[in-house]
Amino acid sequence: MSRAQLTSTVEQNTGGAVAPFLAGKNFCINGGMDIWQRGTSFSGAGVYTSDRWYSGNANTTYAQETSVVPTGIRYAMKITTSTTGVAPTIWQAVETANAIQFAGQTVTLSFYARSTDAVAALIRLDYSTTSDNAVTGSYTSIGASTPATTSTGYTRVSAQFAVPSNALTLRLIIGAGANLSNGGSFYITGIQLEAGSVATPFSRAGGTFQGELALCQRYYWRGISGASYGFLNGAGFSYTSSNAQISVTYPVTMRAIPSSVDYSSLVVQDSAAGIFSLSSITLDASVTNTIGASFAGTTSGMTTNRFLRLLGSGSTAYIGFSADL
Amino acid sequence: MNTQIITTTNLDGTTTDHVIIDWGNNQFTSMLKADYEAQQAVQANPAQYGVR
Repeated sequence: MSRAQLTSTVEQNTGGAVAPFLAGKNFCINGGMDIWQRGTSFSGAGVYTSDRWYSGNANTTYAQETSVVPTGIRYAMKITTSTTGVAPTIWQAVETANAIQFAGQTVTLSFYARSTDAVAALIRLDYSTTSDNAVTGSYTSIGASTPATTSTGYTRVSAQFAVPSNALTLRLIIGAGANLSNGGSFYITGIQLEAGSVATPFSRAGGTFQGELALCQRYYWRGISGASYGFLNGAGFSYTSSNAQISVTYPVTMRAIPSSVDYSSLVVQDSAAGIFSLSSITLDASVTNTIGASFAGTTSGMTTNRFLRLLGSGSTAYIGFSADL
Repeated sequence: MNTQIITTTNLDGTTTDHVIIDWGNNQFTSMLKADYEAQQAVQANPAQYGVR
Protein backbone atom coordinates (compact mmCIF):
# COMPACT_ATOMS: atom_id res chain seq x y z
CA MET A 1 0.00 0.00 0.00
CA SER A 2 1.39 3.37 -1.01
CA ARG A 3 1.78 6.29 1.37
CA ALA A 4 -1.09 8.10 -0.35
CA GLN A 5 -3.38 5.08 -0.03
CA LEU A 6 -2.45 4.70 3.61
CA THR A 7 -3.35 8.31 4.20
CA SER A 8 -6.75 8.06 2.61
CA THR A 9 -7.80 4.69 3.97
CA VAL A 10 -6.40 4.61 7.46
CA GLU A 11 -5.18 7.89 8.82
CA GLN A 12 -8.05 10.00 7.55
CA ASN A 13 -10.66 7.59 8.79
CA THR A 14 -9.14 7.59 12.26
CA GLY A 15 -8.38 11.30 12.29
CA GLY A 16 -4.72 10.50 12.84
CA ALA A 17 -1.81 12.75 12.02
CA VAL A 18 -0.95 13.22 8.39
CA ALA A 19 2.49 14.29 7.29
CA PRO A 20 2.44 17.66 5.52
CA PHE A 21 3.77 18.22 1.99
CA LEU A 22 2.57 14.80 0.91
CA ALA A 23 2.08 14.49 -2.84
CA GLY A 24 -0.87 12.49 -4.03
CA LYS A 25 -3.54 13.09 -1.41
CA ASN A 26 -4.83 16.40 -2.81
CA PHE A 27 -6.56 16.22 -6.18
CA CYS A 28 -7.14 19.95 -6.54
CA ILE A 29 -4.35 21.32 -8.71
CA ASN A 30 -2.83 24.67 -7.72
CA GLY A 31 -4.85 24.69 -4.50
CA GLY A 32 -2.15 26.81 -2.87
CA MET A 33 -2.35 29.42 -5.67
CA ASP A 34 1.35 28.96 -6.33
CA ILE A 35 1.21 29.11 -10.12
CA TRP A 36 0.13 32.20 -12.12
CA GLN A 37 1.41 31.60 -15.63
CA ARG A 38 -1.20 33.82 -17.33
CA GLY A 39 -0.62 36.85 -15.11
CA THR A 40 -1.51 38.02 -11.62
CA SER A 41 -4.72 40.03 -12.12
CA PHE A 42 -7.85 39.29 -14.13
CA SER A 43 -11.36 40.61 -14.44
CA GLY A 44 -14.78 39.33 -15.39
CA ALA A 45 -16.47 35.97 -15.80
CA GLY A 46 -15.31 33.11 -17.95
CA VAL A 47 -11.53 33.52 -17.92
CA TYR A 48 -8.71 31.45 -16.50
CA THR A 49 -7.00 33.25 -13.65
CA SER A 50 -4.32 31.54 -11.56
CA ASP A 51 -3.54 28.22 -13.17
CA ARG A 52 -6.51 25.84 -13.37
CA TRP A 53 -8.94 28.32 -11.76
CA TYR A 54 -11.80 29.70 -13.85
CA SER A 55 -13.56 32.92 -12.92
CA GLY A 56 -17.26 32.72 -12.18
CA ASN A 57 -18.42 36.31 -12.04
CA ALA A 58 -18.67 39.59 -13.87
CA ASN A 59 -17.94 42.89 -12.10
CA THR A 60 -15.19 41.12 -10.21
CA THR A 61 -11.38 41.12 -10.18
CA TYR A 62 -9.28 38.08 -9.37
CA ALA A 63 -5.78 38.92 -8.19
CA GLN A 64 -2.73 37.35 -6.62
CA GLU A 65 -2.55 38.20 -2.90
CA THR A 66 0.83 38.10 -1.18
CA SER A 67 0.17 39.88 2.14
CA VAL A 68 -3.13 38.56 3.49
CA VAL A 69 -2.24 34.87 3.53
CA PRO A 70 -2.37 32.08 6.12
CA THR A 71 0.84 31.13 7.89
CA GLY A 72 2.84 28.74 5.76
CA ILE A 73 1.23 29.63 2.44
CA ARG A 74 2.75 32.15 0.03
CA TYR A 75 -0.21 33.21 -2.10
CA ALA A 76 -3.98 33.54 -1.98
CA MET A 77 -6.59 34.54 -4.53
CA LYS A 78 -8.12 37.93 -3.68
CA ILE A 79 -11.51 38.34 -5.29
CA THR A 80 -12.95 41.85 -5.22
CA THR A 81 -16.33 42.97 -6.47
CA SER A 82 -17.04 46.32 -8.11
CA THR A 83 -20.77 46.31 -7.57
CA THR A 84 -23.36 44.97 -5.15
CA GLY A 85 -25.18 41.67 -5.52
CA VAL A 86 -22.18 39.47 -6.35
CA ALA A 87 -21.16 36.31 -4.49
CA PRO A 88 -17.96 35.58 -6.40
CA THR A 89 -16.69 32.08 -7.08
CA ILE A 90 -13.85 30.26 -8.78
CA TRP A 91 -14.18 26.91 -10.52
CA GLN A 92 -11.98 23.94 -11.35
CA ALA A 93 -12.83 20.81 -13.33
CA VAL A 94 -11.20 17.56 -12.20
CA GLU A 95 -10.53 15.43 -15.25
CA THR A 96 -11.71 11.85 -15.46
CA ALA A 97 -8.24 10.35 -14.96
CA ASN A 98 -8.21 11.87 -11.46
CA ALA A 99 -11.95 11.96 -10.69
CA ILE A 100 -12.82 8.35 -11.50
CA GLN A 101 -11.33 7.04 -8.26
CA PHE A 102 -13.87 9.06 -6.28
CA ALA A 103 -16.92 7.46 -7.92
CA GLY A 104 -19.10 6.01 -5.18
CA GLN A 105 -16.79 7.42 -2.49
CA THR A 106 -16.98 10.16 0.13
CA VAL A 107 -14.68 13.12 -0.51
CA THR A 108 -13.80 16.19 1.50
CA LEU A 109 -13.27 19.62 -0.01
CA SER A 110 -11.60 22.21 2.19
CA PHE A 111 -9.86 25.58 1.91
CA TYR A 112 -8.79 28.68 3.81
CA ALA A 113 -11.35 31.49 3.51
CA ARG A 114 -11.41 35.08 4.69
CA SER A 115 -13.73 37.94 3.81
CA THR A 116 -13.72 41.65 4.46
CA ASP A 117 -17.49 41.37 4.90
CA ALA A 118 -17.41 38.23 7.06
CA VAL A 119 -19.87 36.50 4.72
CA ALA A 120 -20.19 32.74 4.59
CA ALA A 121 -18.04 30.68 2.26
CA LEU A 122 -19.45 28.47 -0.49
CA ILE A 123 -18.19 24.91 -0.93
CA ARG A 124 -19.93 23.17 -3.80
CA LEU A 125 -19.13 19.99 -5.70
CA ASP A 126 -20.70 19.09 -9.06
CA TYR A 127 -20.38 15.94 -11.12
CA SER A 128 -20.80 14.98 -14.73
CA THR A 129 -21.18 11.62 -16.43
CA THR A 130 -19.27 13.02 -19.41
CA SER A 131 -15.60 12.14 -19.62
CA ASP A 132 -13.32 15.18 -19.24
CA ASN A 133 -16.25 17.57 -19.27
CA ALA A 134 -15.24 21.20 -19.74
CA VAL A 135 -15.51 23.49 -16.74
CA THR A 136 -18.34 25.33 -18.51
CA GLY A 137 -20.13 22.12 -19.45
CA SER A 138 -23.32 20.71 -18.00
CA TYR A 139 -23.00 19.39 -14.44
CA THR A 140 -25.28 18.18 -11.64
CA SER A 141 -24.73 19.51 -8.13
CA ILE A 142 -23.80 16.90 -5.52
CA GLY A 143 -24.27 19.43 -2.76
CA ALA A 144 -23.21 22.74 -1.30
CA SER A 145 -22.24 24.04 2.11
CA THR A 146 -21.95 27.61 3.41
CA PRO A 147 -19.74 27.66 6.51
CA ALA A 148 -19.02 30.95 8.27
CA THR A 149 -15.87 33.03 7.82
CA THR A 150 -14.51 36.08 9.60
CA SER A 151 -12.90 39.34 8.57
CA THR A 152 -10.12 39.07 11.12
CA GLY A 153 -8.35 35.96 9.93
CA TYR A 154 -8.53 32.86 7.80
CA THR A 155 -10.97 30.08 8.61
CA ARG A 156 -10.36 26.54 7.42
CA VAL A 157 -13.74 25.54 5.98
CA SER A 158 -14.67 22.07 4.75
CA ALA A 159 -17.55 19.95 3.52
CA GLN A 160 -18.09 16.30 2.71
CA PHE A 161 -19.76 14.95 -0.40
CA ALA A 162 -20.92 11.51 -1.53
CA VAL A 163 -19.83 11.23 -5.14
CA PRO A 164 -22.25 9.25 -7.34
CA SER A 165 -20.92 5.98 -8.70
CA ASN A 166 -21.36 7.13 -12.31
CA ALA A 167 -19.36 10.37 -11.91
CA LEU A 168 -16.65 10.84 -14.53
CA THR A 169 -15.77 14.51 -14.08
CA LEU A 170 -15.98 16.65 -10.95
CA ARG A 171 -16.25 20.42 -10.73
CA LEU A 172 -15.24 22.38 -7.65
CA ILE A 173 -16.99 25.70 -7.09
CA ILE A 174 -15.74 27.69 -4.14
CA GLY A 175 -15.99 31.28 -3.04
CA ALA A 176 -18.38 33.51 -1.19
CA GLY A 177 -21.66 32.02 -0.03
CA ALA A 178 -23.43 35.38 0.08
CA ASN A 179 -23.20 38.70 -1.71
CA LEU A 180 -20.26 40.94 -0.92
CA SER A 181 -20.58 44.68 -0.51
CA ASN A 182 -19.41 46.89 -3.38
CA GLY A 183 -15.62 46.76 -3.09
CA GLY A 184 -15.69 43.82 -0.69
CA SER A 185 -13.03 41.15 -0.98
CA PHE A 186 -12.96 37.42 -0.44
CA TYR A 187 -9.67 35.52 -0.02
CA ILE A 188 -9.13 31.87 -0.92
CA THR A 189 -6.15 29.54 -0.72
CA GLY A 190 -5.11 26.10 0.48
CA ILE A 191 -7.83 24.31 -1.46
CA GLN A 192 -7.83 20.56 -1.06
CA LEU A 193 -9.95 17.74 -2.49
CA GLU A 194 -9.24 14.41 -0.85
CA ALA A 195 -10.72 11.00 -0.28
CA GLY A 196 -12.45 10.29 3.01
CA SER A 197 -14.53 12.32 5.41
CA VAL A 198 -11.78 14.19 7.26
CA ALA A 199 -10.18 17.48 6.13
CA THR A 200 -6.47 16.92 6.66
CA PRO A 201 -3.81 19.66 6.61
CA PHE A 202 -3.27 21.21 3.19
CA SER A 203 -0.51 20.02 0.93
CA ARG A 204 0.10 20.67 -2.74
CA ALA A 205 -1.21 18.12 -5.22
CA GLY A 206 2.28 18.00 -6.70
CA GLY A 207 4.09 17.99 -3.35
CA THR A 208 6.83 20.44 -4.30
CA PHE A 209 6.60 23.74 -6.19
CA GLN A 210 8.17 22.06 -9.21
CA GLY A 211 5.68 19.23 -8.96
CA GLU A 212 2.80 21.69 -8.85
CA LEU A 213 4.19 23.62 -11.82
CA ALA A 214 4.42 20.45 -13.88
CA LEU A 215 0.83 19.56 -13.02
CA CYS A 216 -0.30 23.00 -14.17
CA GLN A 217 1.80 22.88 -17.34
CA ARG A 218 -0.07 19.77 -18.37
CA TYR A 219 -3.09 22.08 -18.85
CA TYR A 220 -1.41 25.34 -19.81
CA TRP A 221 2.16 26.23 -20.56
CA ARG A 222 3.53 29.71 -21.11
CA GLY A 223 7.13 30.37 -22.03
CA ILE A 224 8.33 33.90 -21.27
CA SER A 225 11.30 35.47 -23.04
CA GLY A 226 12.96 36.94 -19.96
CA ALA A 227 15.63 38.64 -22.08
CA SER A 228 16.03 41.13 -24.91
CA TYR A 229 15.63 38.27 -27.39
CA GLY A 230 14.90 35.29 -25.16
CA PHE A 231 14.56 31.82 -26.65
CA LEU A 232 11.01 30.47 -26.66
CA ASN A 233 11.70 26.79 -27.23
CA GLY A 234 10.80 26.83 -30.92
CA ALA A 235 12.49 26.44 -34.27
CA GLY A 236 11.40 26.05 -37.88
CA PHE A 237 11.85 27.34 -41.37
CA SER A 238 10.69 30.01 -43.76
CA TYR A 239 8.08 28.27 -45.90
CA THR A 240 7.69 31.36 -48.05
CA SER A 241 8.94 34.91 -47.73
CA SER A 242 5.93 35.73 -45.54
CA ASN A 243 5.13 32.40 -43.83
CA ALA A 244 7.22 31.00 -40.97
CA GLN A 245 6.53 27.41 -39.93
CA ILE A 246 7.59 26.97 -36.31
CA SER A 247 7.50 23.99 -33.96
CA VAL A 248 7.59 24.23 -30.18
CA THR A 249 8.16 21.36 -27.75
CA TYR A 250 6.21 21.60 -24.47
CA PRO A 251 8.06 21.04 -21.18
CA VAL A 252 5.55 18.32 -20.19
CA THR A 253 3.10 16.20 -22.14
CA MET A 254 -0.17 18.11 -22.21
CA ARG A 255 -3.56 16.79 -21.13
CA ALA A 256 -4.94 17.08 -24.65
CA ILE A 257 -4.00 18.71 -27.92
CA PRO A 258 -3.96 22.45 -27.19
CA SER A 259 -6.83 24.36 -28.67
CA SER A 260 -5.42 27.86 -28.35
CA VAL A 261 -2.15 29.75 -28.33
CA ASP A 262 -1.48 33.02 -26.51
CA TYR A 263 1.38 35.20 -27.73
CA SER A 264 2.99 38.57 -27.52
CA SER A 265 5.97 40.12 -29.34
CA LEU A 266 7.15 36.99 -31.15
CA VAL A 267 10.00 37.16 -33.63
CA VAL A 268 12.02 34.65 -35.61
CA GLN A 269 15.72 34.89 -36.28
CA ASP A 270 17.31 33.87 -39.54
CA SER A 271 21.04 33.83 -38.86
CA ALA A 272 21.77 35.23 -42.32
CA ALA A 273 19.03 37.81 -42.65
CA GLY A 274 18.17 38.99 -39.16
CA ILE A 275 15.00 39.34 -37.10
CA PHE A 276 11.41 39.18 -38.40
CA SER A 277 8.32 39.97 -36.33
CA LEU A 278 5.52 37.40 -36.38
CA SER A 279 1.82 38.09 -36.47
CA SER A 280 -1.37 36.11 -37.06
CA ILE A 281 -0.21 32.91 -35.38
CA THR A 282 -2.36 29.87 -36.26
CA LEU A 283 -1.94 26.34 -34.92
CA ASP A 284 -1.52 23.59 -37.50
CA ALA A 285 -4.12 21.07 -36.38
CA SER A 286 -2.65 18.29 -38.50
CA VAL A 287 0.74 18.41 -36.76
CA THR A 288 0.12 19.80 -33.29
CA ASN A 289 -0.22 17.10 -30.63
CA THR A 290 0.26 16.62 -26.89
CA ILE A 291 4.08 16.79 -26.99
CA GLY A 292 4.56 19.75 -29.30
CA ALA A 293 2.89 22.36 -31.43
CA SER A 294 3.38 23.51 -34.97
CA PHE A 295 2.13 26.87 -36.06
CA ALA A 296 2.34 29.34 -38.88
CA GLY A 297 3.25 32.96 -38.37
CA THR A 298 2.93 35.79 -40.84
CA THR A 299 5.78 38.14 -41.57
CA SER A 300 7.46 39.65 -44.65
CA GLY A 301 10.83 39.84 -46.35
CA MET A 302 12.22 36.44 -45.40
CA THR A 303 14.29 34.27 -47.69
CA THR A 304 12.52 30.98 -48.39
CA ASN A 305 13.77 27.76 -46.80
CA ARG A 306 15.98 29.27 -44.14
CA PHE A 307 16.31 27.84 -40.64
CA LEU A 308 14.56 29.97 -38.03
CA ARG A 309 14.52 30.02 -34.25
CA LEU A 310 11.67 31.43 -32.19
CA LEU A 311 12.51 34.32 -29.88
CA GLY A 312 10.65 36.92 -27.88
CA SER A 313 11.28 40.59 -28.54
CA GLY A 314 11.72 41.97 -25.04
CA SER A 315 11.70 40.30 -21.66
CA THR A 316 7.91 40.11 -21.38
CA ALA A 317 7.31 38.45 -24.76
CA TYR A 318 5.65 35.07 -24.47
CA ILE A 319 3.99 32.13 -26.12
CA GLY A 320 1.44 29.93 -24.30
CA PHE A 321 -0.56 26.84 -25.17
CA SER A 322 -3.84 25.85 -23.53
CA ALA A 323 -5.29 22.39 -23.11
CA ASP A 324 -7.24 23.43 -20.05
CA LEU A 325 -10.45 21.79 -19.04
CA MET B 1 -10.83 43.62 -28.11
CA ASN B 2 -10.77 42.95 -31.85
CA THR B 3 -11.07 39.63 -33.64
CA GLN B 4 -9.94 38.38 -37.02
CA ILE B 5 -10.91 35.12 -38.73
CA ILE B 6 -8.24 33.26 -40.70
CA THR B 7 -8.65 30.06 -42.71
CA THR B 8 -5.49 27.98 -43.01
CA THR B 9 -4.57 24.91 -45.01
CA ASN B 10 -2.89 22.26 -42.88
CA LEU B 11 -0.03 20.04 -44.04
CA ASP B 12 -2.50 17.21 -44.62
CA GLY B 13 -4.53 19.42 -46.96
CA THR B 14 -7.46 20.02 -44.65
CA THR B 15 -8.51 23.55 -43.80
CA THR B 16 -9.13 25.06 -40.38
CA ASP B 17 -10.83 28.28 -39.34
CA HIS B 18 -9.05 30.24 -36.61
CA VAL B 19 -9.97 33.33 -34.65
CA ILE B 20 -7.25 35.71 -33.53
CA ILE B 21 -8.22 37.87 -30.59
CA ASP B 22 -6.35 41.14 -30.15
CA TRP B 23 -6.51 42.00 -26.45
CA GLY B 24 -4.62 45.26 -26.90
CA ASN B 25 -1.15 45.93 -25.49
CA ASN B 26 0.30 43.67 -28.20
CA GLN B 27 -1.24 40.55 -26.66
CA PHE B 28 -3.09 38.00 -28.76
CA THR B 29 -4.84 34.65 -28.51
CA SER B 30 -5.31 32.38 -31.50
CA MET B 31 -7.77 29.52 -31.30
CA LEU B 32 -10.01 27.37 -33.37
CA LYS B 33 -13.13 29.19 -34.46
CA ALA B 34 -15.33 26.48 -32.94
CA ASP B 35 -13.69 26.92 -29.51
CA TYR B 36 -14.04 30.68 -29.73
CA GLU B 37 -17.74 30.37 -30.49
CA ALA B 38 -18.20 28.07 -27.49
CA GLN B 39 -16.52 30.65 -25.25
CA GLN B 40 -18.70 33.38 -26.65
CA ALA B 41 -21.77 31.33 -25.81
CA VAL B 42 -20.71 31.30 -22.17
CA GLN B 43 -20.15 35.04 -22.16
CA ALA B 44 -23.48 35.72 -23.85
CA ASN B 45 -25.57 33.53 -21.59
CA PRO B 46 -23.62 32.97 -18.38
CA ALA B 47 -26.60 31.75 -16.34
CA GLN B 48 -26.96 28.76 -18.64
CA TYR B 49 -23.56 27.57 -17.49
CA GLY B 50 -24.08 28.45 -13.86
CA VAL B 51 -21.87 31.54 -14.01
CA ARG B 52 -23.42 34.22 -11.87
